[in-house]
Amino acid sequence: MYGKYRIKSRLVVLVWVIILILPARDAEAFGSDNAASGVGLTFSTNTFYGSGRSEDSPVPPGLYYRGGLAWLPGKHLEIELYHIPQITPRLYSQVFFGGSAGYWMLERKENSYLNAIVEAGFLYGLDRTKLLNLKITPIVFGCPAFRYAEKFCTVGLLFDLDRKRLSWQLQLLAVTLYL
Amino acid sequence: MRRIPVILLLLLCLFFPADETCALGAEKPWFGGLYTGFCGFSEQTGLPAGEYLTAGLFAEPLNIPVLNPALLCGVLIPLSPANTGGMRVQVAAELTIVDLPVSFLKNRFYITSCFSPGVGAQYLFALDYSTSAFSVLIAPLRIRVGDGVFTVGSIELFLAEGTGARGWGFTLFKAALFLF
Repeated sequence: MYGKYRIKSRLVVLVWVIILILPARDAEAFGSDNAASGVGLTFSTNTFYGSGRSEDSPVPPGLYYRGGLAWLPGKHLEIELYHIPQITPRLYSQVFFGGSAGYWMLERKENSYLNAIVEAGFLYGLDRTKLLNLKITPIVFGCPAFRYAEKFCTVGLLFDLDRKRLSWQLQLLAVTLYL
Repeated sequence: MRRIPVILLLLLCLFFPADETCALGAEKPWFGGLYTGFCGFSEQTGLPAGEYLTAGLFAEPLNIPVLNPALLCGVLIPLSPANTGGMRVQVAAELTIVDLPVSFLKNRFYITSCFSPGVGAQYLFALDYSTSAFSVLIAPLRIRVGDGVFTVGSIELFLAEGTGARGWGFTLFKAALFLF
Protein backbone atom coordinates (compact mmCIF):
# COMPACT_ATOMS: atom_id res chain seq x y z
CA MET A 1 0.00 0.00 0.00
CA TYR A 2 2.75 2.42 1.03
CA GLY A 3 4.79 1.51 -2.04
CA LYS A 4 1.82 2.24 -4.29
CA TYR A 5 1.48 5.77 -2.89
CA ARG A 6 5.23 6.28 -3.18
CA ILE A 7 5.09 5.36 -6.88
CA LYS A 8 2.11 7.71 -7.33
CA SER A 9 3.91 10.59 -5.65
CA ARG A 10 7.03 9.97 -7.74
CA LEU A 11 4.91 10.06 -10.90
CA VAL A 12 3.42 13.40 -9.84
CA VAL A 13 6.91 14.78 -9.19
CA LEU A 14 8.09 13.49 -12.58
CA VAL A 15 5.20 15.20 -14.36
CA TRP A 16 5.98 18.51 -12.63
CA VAL A 17 9.66 18.18 -13.50
CA ILE A 18 8.72 17.70 -17.16
CA ILE A 19 6.40 20.71 -17.07
CA LEU A 20 8.96 22.98 -15.44
CA ILE A 21 12.15 21.83 -17.13
CA LEU A 22 11.12 21.42 -20.74
CA PRO A 23 10.08 25.06 -21.22
CA ALA A 24 13.57 26.03 -20.14
CA ARG A 25 14.95 24.89 -23.45
CA ASP A 26 16.55 27.88 -25.08
CA ALA A 27 14.37 27.86 -28.16
CA GLU A 28 12.89 30.70 -30.12
CA ALA A 29 9.16 30.42 -30.32
CA PHE A 30 8.42 31.85 -33.71
CA GLY A 31 9.49 30.60 -37.09
CA SER A 32 12.33 28.57 -35.68
CA ASP A 33 13.30 24.98 -36.27
CA ASN A 34 13.43 24.66 -32.50
CA ALA A 35 9.80 25.73 -32.03
CA ALA A 36 7.51 23.56 -29.94
CA SER A 37 6.28 20.25 -31.26
CA GLY A 38 2.63 19.43 -31.74
CA VAL A 39 2.54 17.41 -28.52
CA GLY A 40 1.42 19.06 -25.32
CA LEU A 41 0.31 18.58 -21.76
CA THR A 42 -3.23 19.73 -21.22
CA PHE A 43 -4.96 20.79 -18.00
CA SER A 44 -8.43 22.12 -17.48
CA THR A 45 -11.26 22.72 -15.11
CA ASN A 46 -14.15 20.32 -15.60
CA THR A 47 -17.72 20.78 -14.43
CA PHE A 48 -20.39 18.12 -14.91
CA TYR A 49 -24.06 19.09 -14.92
CA GLY A 50 -26.97 16.66 -14.69
CA SER A 51 -29.78 17.23 -17.16
CA GLY A 52 -32.44 17.32 -14.46
CA ARG A 53 -32.57 15.85 -10.95
CA SER A 54 -29.16 15.30 -9.38
CA GLU A 55 -29.76 11.52 -9.14
CA ASP A 56 -30.08 11.49 -12.93
CA SER A 57 -26.50 12.64 -13.34
CA PRO A 58 -24.08 9.85 -14.32
CA VAL A 59 -21.36 11.63 -12.40
CA PRO A 60 -21.26 12.09 -8.60
CA PRO A 61 -21.07 15.77 -7.56
CA GLY A 62 -17.67 17.16 -6.71
CA LEU A 63 -14.65 19.05 -7.92
CA TYR A 64 -13.01 17.46 -10.96
CA TYR A 65 -10.03 18.39 -13.05
CA ARG A 66 -8.92 17.16 -16.41
CA GLY A 67 -5.33 16.41 -17.34
CA GLY A 68 -3.79 14.60 -20.28
CA LEU A 69 -1.84 14.68 -23.48
CA ALA A 70 -2.71 16.44 -26.72
CA TRP A 71 -1.28 15.77 -30.17
CA LEU A 72 -1.83 17.98 -33.19
CA PRO A 73 -1.17 16.09 -36.43
CA GLY A 74 -1.59 18.12 -39.63
CA LYS A 75 -3.26 21.51 -39.93
CA HIS A 76 -6.66 20.87 -38.32
CA LEU A 77 -6.71 17.69 -36.23
CA GLU A 78 -6.23 17.31 -32.49
CA ILE A 79 -6.09 14.00 -30.64
CA GLU A 80 -6.36 14.02 -26.85
CA LEU A 81 -6.01 11.33 -24.19
CA TYR A 82 -6.90 12.39 -20.69
CA HIS A 83 -8.23 11.47 -17.29
CA ILE A 84 -10.74 13.30 -15.13
CA PRO A 85 -10.34 12.45 -11.43
CA GLN A 86 -12.60 13.61 -8.65
CA ILE A 87 -10.70 15.74 -6.14
CA THR A 88 -13.41 16.56 -3.62
CA PRO A 89 -15.33 15.47 -1.61
CA ARG A 90 -13.29 12.24 -1.80
CA LEU A 91 -9.97 12.23 -3.61
CA TYR A 92 -9.92 9.83 -6.59
CA SER A 93 -13.20 8.16 -5.57
CA GLN A 94 -14.24 8.47 -9.22
CA VAL A 95 -11.98 8.71 -12.24
CA PHE A 96 -12.89 8.94 -15.90
CA PHE A 97 -10.49 8.02 -18.66
CA GLY A 98 -11.19 9.44 -22.05
CA GLY A 99 -10.08 10.28 -25.52
CA SER A 100 -11.24 12.71 -28.13
CA ALA A 101 -10.65 13.77 -31.70
CA GLY A 102 -10.98 17.45 -32.40
CA TYR A 103 -11.07 19.63 -35.49
CA TRP A 104 -9.60 23.13 -35.37
CA MET A 105 -12.01 25.17 -37.49
CA LEU A 106 -9.36 27.48 -38.93
CA GLU A 107 -6.18 26.10 -40.42
CA ARG A 108 -3.26 26.21 -37.98
CA LYS A 109 -0.77 28.47 -39.72
CA GLU A 110 2.61 29.34 -38.31
CA ASN A 111 1.52 32.35 -36.27
CA SER A 112 -2.26 31.94 -36.23
CA TYR A 113 -3.60 32.89 -32.83
CA LEU A 114 -7.39 32.65 -32.76
CA ASN A 115 -9.35 29.48 -33.43
CA ALA A 116 -12.34 27.32 -32.46
CA ILE A 117 -12.61 23.56 -32.02
CA VAL A 118 -15.30 20.91 -32.34
CA GLU A 119 -14.59 17.54 -30.72
CA ALA A 120 -16.07 14.08 -30.36
CA GLY A 121 -14.91 11.60 -27.77
CA PHE A 122 -15.71 9.10 -25.07
CA LEU A 123 -15.34 8.80 -21.29
CA TYR A 124 -15.07 5.58 -19.32
CA GLY A 125 -15.47 5.70 -15.54
CA LEU A 126 -13.99 3.41 -12.91
CA ASP A 127 -17.57 2.42 -12.04
CA ARG A 128 -17.99 1.37 -15.71
CA THR A 129 -19.99 4.43 -16.66
CA LYS A 130 -19.70 4.88 -20.40
CA LEU A 131 -20.27 8.32 -21.86
CA LEU A 132 -20.13 9.68 -25.38
CA ASN A 133 -19.05 13.23 -25.67
CA LEU A 134 -19.55 16.08 -28.16
CA LYS A 135 -17.85 19.37 -27.41
CA ILE A 136 -17.42 22.80 -28.89
CA THR A 137 -14.78 25.32 -27.88
CA PRO A 138 -15.69 28.75 -29.28
CA ILE A 139 -12.50 30.55 -28.22
CA VAL A 140 -8.95 29.23 -28.58
CA PHE A 141 -5.97 31.52 -28.16
CA GLY A 142 -2.53 30.27 -29.21
CA CYS A 143 -1.14 27.25 -31.02
CA PRO A 144 2.11 25.24 -30.96
CA ALA A 145 4.03 28.19 -32.45
CA PHE A 146 3.24 30.12 -29.28
CA ARG A 147 3.97 27.00 -27.22
CA TYR A 148 0.62 27.23 -25.49
CA ALA A 149 -3.08 27.22 -26.26
CA GLU A 150 -5.80 28.56 -23.99
CA LYS A 151 -9.30 27.28 -24.55
CA PHE A 152 -12.26 29.11 -23.05
CA CYS A 153 -15.89 28.15 -22.42
CA THR A 154 -15.88 24.62 -23.81
CA VAL A 155 -19.40 23.21 -23.69
CA GLY A 156 -19.98 19.47 -24.02
CA LEU A 157 -22.95 17.19 -24.38
CA LEU A 158 -22.60 13.80 -22.65
CA PHE A 159 -24.68 10.76 -23.48
CA ASP A 160 -24.83 7.97 -20.91
CA LEU A 161 -24.86 4.76 -22.96
CA ASP A 162 -26.31 2.59 -20.17
CA ARG A 163 -29.01 4.88 -18.82
CA LYS A 164 -29.71 6.60 -22.12
CA ARG A 165 -29.60 10.05 -20.55
CA LEU A 166 -28.06 13.33 -21.57
CA SER A 167 -26.02 15.59 -19.34
CA TRP A 168 -23.66 18.53 -19.77
CA GLN A 169 -20.01 19.25 -19.34
CA LEU A 170 -18.38 22.66 -19.03
CA GLN A 171 -14.67 23.42 -19.20
CA LEU A 172 -14.34 27.12 -18.55
CA LEU A 173 -10.59 27.20 -18.93
CA ALA A 174 -8.15 24.74 -20.46
CA VAL A 175 -4.44 25.28 -20.98
CA THR A 176 -2.19 23.21 -23.23
CA LEU A 177 1.55 23.62 -22.88
CA TYR A 178 3.34 22.31 -25.98
CA LEU A 179 6.62 20.57 -25.40
CA MET B 1 15.34 25.44 15.27
CA ARG B 2 12.65 28.13 15.11
CA ARG B 3 15.18 30.62 13.77
CA ILE B 4 15.91 28.56 10.67
CA PRO B 5 12.88 29.79 8.62
CA VAL B 6 13.69 33.40 9.51
CA ILE B 7 17.34 32.96 8.49
CA LEU B 8 16.25 31.30 5.23
CA LEU B 9 13.90 34.20 4.53
CA LEU B 10 16.63 36.76 5.16
CA LEU B 11 18.99 34.85 2.85
CA LEU B 12 16.32 34.86 0.14
CA CYS B 13 15.97 38.63 0.56
CA LEU B 14 19.72 39.02 0.09
CA PHE B 15 19.76 36.89 -3.06
CA PHE B 16 16.70 38.51 -4.61
CA PRO B 17 16.79 42.25 -3.94
CA ALA B 18 13.54 44.19 -4.22
CA ASP B 19 14.09 45.83 -7.60
CA GLU B 20 14.56 42.47 -9.32
CA THR B 21 11.80 40.56 -7.63
CA CYS B 22 8.70 42.53 -8.48
CA ALA B 23 6.93 41.16 -11.53
CA LEU B 24 4.75 44.22 -11.88
CA GLY B 25 7.48 46.56 -13.01
CA ALA B 26 9.45 49.29 -11.32
CA GLU B 27 6.48 51.69 -11.11
CA LYS B 28 4.33 49.15 -9.22
CA PRO B 29 1.13 50.71 -10.56
CA TRP B 30 -1.36 48.26 -9.12
CA PHE B 31 -3.33 48.28 -5.90
CA GLY B 32 -5.90 45.54 -6.39
CA GLY B 33 -8.31 43.82 -8.71
CA LEU B 34 -10.61 40.87 -9.25
CA TYR B 35 -10.07 37.22 -8.46
CA THR B 36 -11.90 34.11 -9.53
CA GLY B 37 -11.27 30.40 -9.12
CA PHE B 38 -12.64 26.90 -8.75
CA CYS B 39 -12.60 24.91 -5.54
CA GLY B 40 -14.21 22.05 -3.62
CA PHE B 41 -14.39 20.74 -0.08
CA SER B 42 -14.16 17.41 1.72
CA GLU B 43 -17.19 15.88 3.43
CA GLN B 44 -16.00 16.75 6.96
CA THR B 45 -16.24 20.49 6.30
CA GLY B 46 -20.04 20.26 6.16
CA LEU B 47 -20.19 22.10 2.85
CA PRO B 48 -22.33 20.36 0.19
CA ALA B 49 -20.35 18.22 -2.25
CA GLY B 50 -19.84 19.99 -5.53
CA GLU B 51 -17.73 22.37 -7.49
CA TYR B 52 -17.61 25.95 -6.25
CA LEU B 53 -16.81 29.17 -8.02
CA THR B 54 -15.04 31.71 -5.89
CA ALA B 55 -15.00 35.33 -7.01
CA GLY B 56 -14.43 38.74 -5.48
CA LEU B 57 -12.13 41.68 -5.00
CA PHE B 58 -8.64 41.77 -3.61
CA ALA B 59 -6.22 44.46 -2.53
CA GLU B 60 -2.46 44.24 -2.28
CA PRO B 61 -1.66 47.63 -0.74
CA LEU B 62 2.03 47.08 -0.05
CA ASN B 63 4.11 46.00 -2.98
CA ILE B 64 6.96 44.47 -1.06
CA PRO B 65 9.06 41.54 -2.27
CA VAL B 66 8.91 39.54 0.97
CA LEU B 67 5.88 38.81 3.17
CA ASN B 68 3.62 40.86 0.94
CA PRO B 69 0.08 40.93 2.39
CA ALA B 70 -3.19 40.83 0.44
CA LEU B 71 -6.81 41.07 1.53
CA LEU B 72 -9.63 39.30 -0.29
CA CYS B 73 -13.38 39.58 0.00
CA GLY B 74 -15.81 37.64 -2.14
CA VAL B 75 -18.37 34.89 -2.43
CA LEU B 76 -18.31 31.15 -2.81
CA ILE B 77 -20.99 29.97 -5.24
CA PRO B 78 -21.86 26.27 -5.77
CA LEU B 79 -21.63 25.71 -9.54
CA SER B 80 -22.46 22.06 -9.81
CA PRO B 81 -24.90 21.15 -8.43
CA ALA B 82 -26.26 24.69 -8.17
CA ASN B 83 -27.34 24.94 -4.55
CA THR B 84 -27.94 28.26 -2.84
CA GLY B 85 -27.56 26.55 0.56
CA GLY B 86 -23.87 26.17 -0.12
CA MET B 87 -23.29 29.85 -0.84
CA ARG B 88 -20.78 31.51 1.50
CA VAL B 89 -19.19 34.90 1.99
CA GLN B 90 -15.42 34.70 1.98
CA VAL B 91 -13.04 37.02 3.80
CA ALA B 92 -9.38 36.12 3.55
CA ALA B 93 -5.90 37.42 4.19
CA GLU B 94 -2.93 36.09 2.25
CA LEU B 95 0.77 36.55 2.59
CA THR B 96 3.09 36.10 -0.37
CA ILE B 97 6.17 34.69 1.29
CA VAL B 98 8.61 35.77 -1.38
CA ASP B 99 8.69 36.63 -5.10
CA LEU B 100 11.41 34.60 -6.79
CA PRO B 101 12.03 35.46 -10.46
CA VAL B 102 11.91 32.39 -12.69
CA SER B 103 13.73 33.31 -15.86
CA PHE B 104 13.09 30.06 -17.72
CA LEU B 105 9.34 30.72 -17.76
CA LYS B 106 10.01 33.72 -20.01
CA ASN B 107 10.24 31.24 -22.90
CA ARG B 108 6.68 30.25 -22.09
CA PHE B 109 4.98 33.49 -21.09
CA TYR B 110 7.28 36.06 -22.81
CA ILE B 111 7.22 38.35 -19.75
CA THR B 112 8.94 38.24 -16.39
CA SER B 113 7.32 35.85 -13.98
CA CYS B 114 7.89 35.14 -10.32
CA PHE B 115 7.35 32.04 -8.25
CA SER B 116 5.31 33.43 -5.34
CA PRO B 117 4.27 30.81 -2.78
CA GLY B 118 1.80 32.04 -0.22
CA VAL B 119 0.00 31.23 3.00
CA GLY B 120 -3.12 32.71 4.50
CA ALA B 121 -6.30 32.36 6.48
CA GLN B 122 -9.92 32.67 5.51
CA TYR B 123 -13.27 32.98 7.21
CA LEU B 124 -16.36 31.62 5.49
CA PHE B 125 -19.88 32.33 6.65
CA ALA B 126 -23.39 31.71 5.34
CA LEU B 127 -25.42 34.69 4.16
CA ASP B 128 -27.74 34.33 7.19
CA TYR B 129 -24.79 33.76 9.59
CA SER B 130 -26.23 30.33 10.46
CA THR B 131 -22.88 28.65 9.97
CA SER B 132 -19.26 29.69 9.69
CA ALA B 133 -15.86 28.11 9.26
CA PHE B 134 -12.24 29.13 9.60
CA SER B 135 -9.44 27.71 7.50
CA VAL B 136 -5.77 28.20 6.83
CA LEU B 137 -4.47 28.34 3.25
CA ILE B 138 -1.30 26.92 1.78
CA ALA B 139 -0.54 27.89 -1.81
CA PRO B 140 2.81 26.38 -2.83
CA LEU B 141 2.28 26.77 -6.59
CA ARG B 142 1.62 30.44 -7.24
CA ILE B 143 3.02 32.37 -10.17
CA ARG B 144 2.97 36.12 -10.66
CA VAL B 145 2.94 36.85 -14.38
CA GLY B 146 2.50 40.37 -15.69
CA ASP B 147 -0.62 41.84 -14.12
CA GLY B 148 -1.90 38.58 -12.66
CA VAL B 149 -1.26 36.10 -9.89
CA PHE B 150 -2.15 32.52 -10.79
CA THR B 151 -2.54 29.80 -8.19
CA VAL B 152 -2.71 26.10 -8.98
CA GLY B 153 -3.60 23.46 -6.43
CA SER B 154 -3.78 25.31 -3.13
CA ILE B 155 -4.95 23.53 0.00
CA GLU B 156 -7.22 24.76 2.77
CA LEU B 157 -7.27 23.13 6.18
CA PHE B 158 -10.48 23.75 8.10
CA LEU B 159 -10.05 24.10 11.82
CA ALA B 160 -12.53 22.85 14.38
CA GLU B 161 -13.24 24.76 17.57
CA GLY B 162 -10.80 23.49 20.12
CA THR B 163 -8.13 21.36 18.54
CA GLY B 164 -7.57 19.54 15.31
CA ALA B 165 -8.64 19.83 11.72
CA ARG B 166 -12.18 19.54 10.43
CA GLY B 167 -11.65 18.62 6.83
CA TRP B 168 -9.94 20.21 3.89
CA GLY B 169 -10.60 22.12 0.74
CA PHE B 170 -8.79 22.31 -2.56
CA THR B 171 -8.57 25.20 -4.99
CA LEU B 172 -7.90 23.84 -8.44
CA PHE B 173 -7.12 27.16 -10.07
CA LYS B 174 -7.36 30.78 -9.04
CA ALA B 175 -6.59 33.83 -11.13
CA ALA B 176 -6.20 37.24 -9.53
CA LEU B 177 -6.00 40.04 -12.08
CA PHE B 178 -4.89 43.53 -11.13
CA LEU B 179 -7.31 46.11 -12.45
CA PHE B 180 -6.86 49.27 -10.39
